[in-house]
Amino acid sequence: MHRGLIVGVVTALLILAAGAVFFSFGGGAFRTAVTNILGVFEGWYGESLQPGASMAHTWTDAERGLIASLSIDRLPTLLPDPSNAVGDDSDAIALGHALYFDTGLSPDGTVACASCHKPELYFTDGKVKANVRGVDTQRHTPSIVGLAYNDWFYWDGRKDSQWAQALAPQETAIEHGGNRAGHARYVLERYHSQYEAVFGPAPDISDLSRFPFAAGPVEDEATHAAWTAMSEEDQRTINRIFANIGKSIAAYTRRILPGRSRFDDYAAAALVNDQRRMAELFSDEEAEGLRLFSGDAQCANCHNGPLFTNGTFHNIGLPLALGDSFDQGRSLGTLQVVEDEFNCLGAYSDATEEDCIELRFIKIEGEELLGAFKVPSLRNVANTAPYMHNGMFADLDAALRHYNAAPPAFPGHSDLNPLALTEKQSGALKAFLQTLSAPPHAPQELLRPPERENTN
Amino acid sequence: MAVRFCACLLISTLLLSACSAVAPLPQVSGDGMAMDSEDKAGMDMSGGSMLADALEPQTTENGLFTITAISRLDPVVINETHAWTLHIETTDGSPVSEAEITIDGGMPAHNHGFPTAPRVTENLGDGDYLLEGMRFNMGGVWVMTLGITSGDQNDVVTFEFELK
Repeated sequence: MHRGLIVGVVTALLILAAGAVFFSFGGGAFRTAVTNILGVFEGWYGESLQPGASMAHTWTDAERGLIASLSIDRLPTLLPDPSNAVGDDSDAIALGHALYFDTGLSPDGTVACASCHKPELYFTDGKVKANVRGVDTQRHTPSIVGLAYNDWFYWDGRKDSQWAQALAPQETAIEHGGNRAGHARYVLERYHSQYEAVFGPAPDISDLSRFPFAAGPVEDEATHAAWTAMSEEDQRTINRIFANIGKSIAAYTRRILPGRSRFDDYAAAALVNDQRRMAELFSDEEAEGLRLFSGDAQCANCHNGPLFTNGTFHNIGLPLALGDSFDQGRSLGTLQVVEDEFNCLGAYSDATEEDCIELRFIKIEGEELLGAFKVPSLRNVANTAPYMHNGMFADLDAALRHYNAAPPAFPGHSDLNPLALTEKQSGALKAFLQTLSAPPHAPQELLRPPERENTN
Repeated sequence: MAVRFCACLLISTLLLSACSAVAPLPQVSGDGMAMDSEDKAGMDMSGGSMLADALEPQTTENGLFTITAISRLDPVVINETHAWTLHIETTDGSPVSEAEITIDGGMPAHNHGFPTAPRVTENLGDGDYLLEGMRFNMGGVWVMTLGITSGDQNDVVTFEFELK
């Protein structure tokens, strides 16, 4: 009986002594392994409420590298947009800030950019489809947070700069409902000094016989006819002012960047393998969600990089919403952007041909473009429901169910594979997605309408 | 007897471990930090990459040409449009300076092509050609197929590589 006790104690002492020797002299890899094992063991008695807690935060080097690749710490400094010479000009930012919130950029005085891209809703509108006067547009309002890092704009990428994108809703009948001649006149009258501070002397467009109140290549026949009646030179004058309106708005929207989320702190802890800090930041369920996200659930195939998007277009086999007809998506957007007079290679762009690398090497053909839409960032995804280009999923659960089932696309082909996740796993993914929320990173004054005196 | 032995082993180990937690073994944290910074320096945080010159020169299917493909972006990373330099030789080592080159490729496992439409934009001389508009939008296995025409000779080569 005593012999058993003595042998047990001696054996335990030997085990611990061996451990101490390994710590003192062991090689790097072996020591890492031992450290990890002890980390787990420490978790057992240190956080006894959750046996195995630290296993949830144990990652291989490759996994930690992949987690770090998603961190906002890996987001490069925003480079200038070569097509927009005033993109980082403080006067242009101030003018764009005013224009962004100005409902005067719609003939009935009801619609501004901020009507759909609301700062308080992470620059979305919470609606299934964009809708300002009781009429649905074709698609759901995407957030503009961090869009300055994108190469393509709109769900189908039919614009190739933020400033060109900002122009299109201005002339869409069911959005702002304006026209470029009207907008040019409005901005030159209301913001004359601010405009000239950014773009130099404004042209004289007071002659109504040359520059009608309402003229532009829009749906309304009279306004369209007034536009085609103008000389090409006068059209170019209006186009230049119109483009400058877009460039000012883009100077503002470029400033709206994603903030640091709880996930980013977790990624920083994962990078230095600080398991204690990781366990403070993420529940086991959230860590399991991250493991699925970057692993078996294959989310990070497309939702990769610090903005959780590869910036390109994929068909994910979305079913048609009731009453919708098939939406071609990217296969039409490519044709539109190469024809766009406000694209990177166009007369109103400030870029050289060399700068327009995305447009010069745009993929026009390919079955995978059919029914493909831009991969959205997942930052703030929990706060920007509903989801998808057509807003058909009301919540994250519905979106995750789609990825789990991955029905085939028709027409085209879906880039998804069925996942067969359990409910618990889907719950973990959802928990992880909720760690990506953070207020936009932008000067506070840019997150609300400018003071009145700044607009005159 | 065996039960008593195991029980004593367990209790003793736990007690001694508790002691070591109060007075941790020296240098663990210091060594740990050193290990971490080494990892940080050497860790791939790109989400998918490979070295610019990772591809071995390859002979075309019918043995007419040897192709070297080197990225001008080093390392090659995902989500960045960039250029490559292609070098074409006959198998006896003479540069092929007037070749027509077509390019295709993608991710066979995902059934999609390149996200861009890369093409050769310049003949740089001495068998070198500038391939612009390359982009990879995912980590994983990619293929790049080059069709080479020189005079009345045609041949094809496919490179397969992984961004990891």
